[in-house]
Amino acid sequence: TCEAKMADFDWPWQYKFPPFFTIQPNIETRKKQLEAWCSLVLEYQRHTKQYGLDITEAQSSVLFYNKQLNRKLSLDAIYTVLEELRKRGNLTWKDKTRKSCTLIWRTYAEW
Amino acid sequence: LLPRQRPGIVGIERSIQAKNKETNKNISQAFQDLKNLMEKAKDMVNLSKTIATKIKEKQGDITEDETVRFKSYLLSMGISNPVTRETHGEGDKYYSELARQLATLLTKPIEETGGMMTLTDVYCRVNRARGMELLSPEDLLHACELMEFLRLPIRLRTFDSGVSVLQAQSQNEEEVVSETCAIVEKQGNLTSEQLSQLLGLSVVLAKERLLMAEKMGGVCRDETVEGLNFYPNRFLTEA
Repeated sequence: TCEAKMADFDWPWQYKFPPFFTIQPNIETRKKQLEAWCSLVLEYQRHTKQYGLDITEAQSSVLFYNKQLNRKLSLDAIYTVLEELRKRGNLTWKDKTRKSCTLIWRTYAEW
Repeated sequence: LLPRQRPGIVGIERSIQAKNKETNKNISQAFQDLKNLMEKAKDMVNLSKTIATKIKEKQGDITEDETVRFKSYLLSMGISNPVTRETHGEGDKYYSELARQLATLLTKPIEETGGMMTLTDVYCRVNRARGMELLSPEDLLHACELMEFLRLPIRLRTFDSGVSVLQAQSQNEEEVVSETCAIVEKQGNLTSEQLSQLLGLSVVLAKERLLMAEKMGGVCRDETVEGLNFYPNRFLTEA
């Protein structure tokens, strides 16, 4: 059922752009890139109606691994994206090991 | 003189022994000579040090010419004493002359190869052309450091990666970046090797060009196990 659900998910153009999967060293570029990643993660979670995210599972999920493109976001990069989400108030870690987290589709401020 | 050859093993052994003795004598003599030479050099070093302190004492009194001459003495002995030397006069005559010579020699080839040449390439070119009286890497670097000051048509430039190049003053950075971006746009994506082939540049310089374009936000990178690829920066051009 998950596969079927994914079929109608509207992937952003960035997801098909290989540099999206390398954290960009240029600050301006990286800002744009992280913005796109944050909204993609939130959109995806909302689409699949998931609140929790397990890092080990996420590494091989379609969200961070584009099989057609053969590009994968590295573990470090995943943490960069998730930390950015945390800073925005969209994410809380379940414990200090940072193995899993809870995502808030809308921040408290937005409510 | 070797003793008269005797037949048999004893004879062979003796001749070997005699040969060894001769070699040992030569070697120890050579070392003795070297030691003498070193002692003389030590005197020279000491002398130059006292002169250096004297110059320090008389700072301002002494004319530029004397300092210049002193510096050339230091150079001829292979001693570099930069701390005391740098406080006396701007660089020195040898280096500034060398810088001028390099400028006349290299301006044309640099402009022909796209306005840039890595320092290692420069080193090869100059020393291969000279054949004798070669330049040390240090000499070359010092001379190149002076180029900007002397208002020569080429100057030294060091990239963030630490690669040093000689760059023609006429080269316009923005032009290079926009040209690089245009090529990446046209090809879709490029590695530094591909760019080096397209432009006839060395791989090192091609990479620097791409990194420069990246720094300006013109391109972005895709890093995989297969290598580093550059794409047009759609993050900034598309919403």
